Amino acid sequence: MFDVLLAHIQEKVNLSAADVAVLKSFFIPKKLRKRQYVLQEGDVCKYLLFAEKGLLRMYHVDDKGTEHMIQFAWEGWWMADTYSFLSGDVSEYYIDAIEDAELLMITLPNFEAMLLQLPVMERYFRILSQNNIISKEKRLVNTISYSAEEKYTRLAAANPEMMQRIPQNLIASYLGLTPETLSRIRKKLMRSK
Amino acid sequence: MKNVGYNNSVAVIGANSKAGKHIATAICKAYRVLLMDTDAMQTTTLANEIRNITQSPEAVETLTCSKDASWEADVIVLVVPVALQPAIAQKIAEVATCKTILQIISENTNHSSIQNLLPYSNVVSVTLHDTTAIVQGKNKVAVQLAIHLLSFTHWKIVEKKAYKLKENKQQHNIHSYKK
Repeated sequence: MFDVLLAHIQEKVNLSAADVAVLKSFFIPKKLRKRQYVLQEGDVCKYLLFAEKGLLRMYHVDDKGTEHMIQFAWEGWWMADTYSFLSGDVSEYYIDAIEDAELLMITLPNFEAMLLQLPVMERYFRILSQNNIISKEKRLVNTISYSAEEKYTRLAAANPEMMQRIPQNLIASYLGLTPETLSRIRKKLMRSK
Repeated sequence: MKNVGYNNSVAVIGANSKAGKHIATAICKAYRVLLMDTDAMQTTTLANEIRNITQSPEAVETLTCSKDASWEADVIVLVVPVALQPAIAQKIAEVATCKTILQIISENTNHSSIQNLLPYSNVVSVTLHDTTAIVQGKNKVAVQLAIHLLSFTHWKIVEKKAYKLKENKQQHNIHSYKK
């Protein structure tokens, strides 16, 4: 139940057996069925989520009802509306499961208590924050500097698993493209191979 | 599929019992219900009854494993005979961390709290009498959640608060809630 999380943490910092027991006491294990929500627009994001199994998406819905993908999370990924989680303000996003999922969820009070009791987790989350900033910068550059085809090929090269697991219409939304445009790009790339 | 299972799934373990059936049918319009009991046929009948009440196929699920039901749930209602409660508590402990558990006890039953078996869960004991449900627990948020859940049932809810006097004698303060 904690295998993926513990492996992910141990890649970056060392946890003793006693630390592991303490760590486990802060998390809510939760099974989620496909299409179930863990966050809806207008609610406060109460949990920081870790995907032990399955696939989640976070997205915004505009006034016309169009979904705009913000982020995906599969095994070994964290997800939350960070602003809502930390501030207690309502969220503008939805988070739901694309596949049946097993999550570990932590509330903000438990998150703070965990960092106090396990200072090594401060270092772990500092490393994650750095990685997150880098990936956000890369995504920004990808969005403003490259053609539609380049956006797709760069994403596919960096995240081959994402291409296998996530429906094409959601990938198109993530890249800010229409499904038709992505379909044309994929056909063109197939022909050129 | 808006609001389906959104942070409000309640596992009723021992759903086929009289109290289990009443709780499940009473809360089903406000909470998604996960019914767990050993007799799958009876549980399916109850699930169909709930689907008729809610007019929603997603409002209820049936499960045959208490651990799976507790893993999927946000709140767990344990409505099995007190003799079986410790074994179930041990079985669900690792998936019930930080969750609220309502330990349902019939009146005049000798029992002990399962809180010590579930050190990282918030156990609220609910003692059922004919017309009242006496609610007691250490975690205020969990107690409020239990009271909200039971407010859909026919029982009058009485919260029993335990606190220590200066001379270390235990005294109880009774708060009752109008329905």
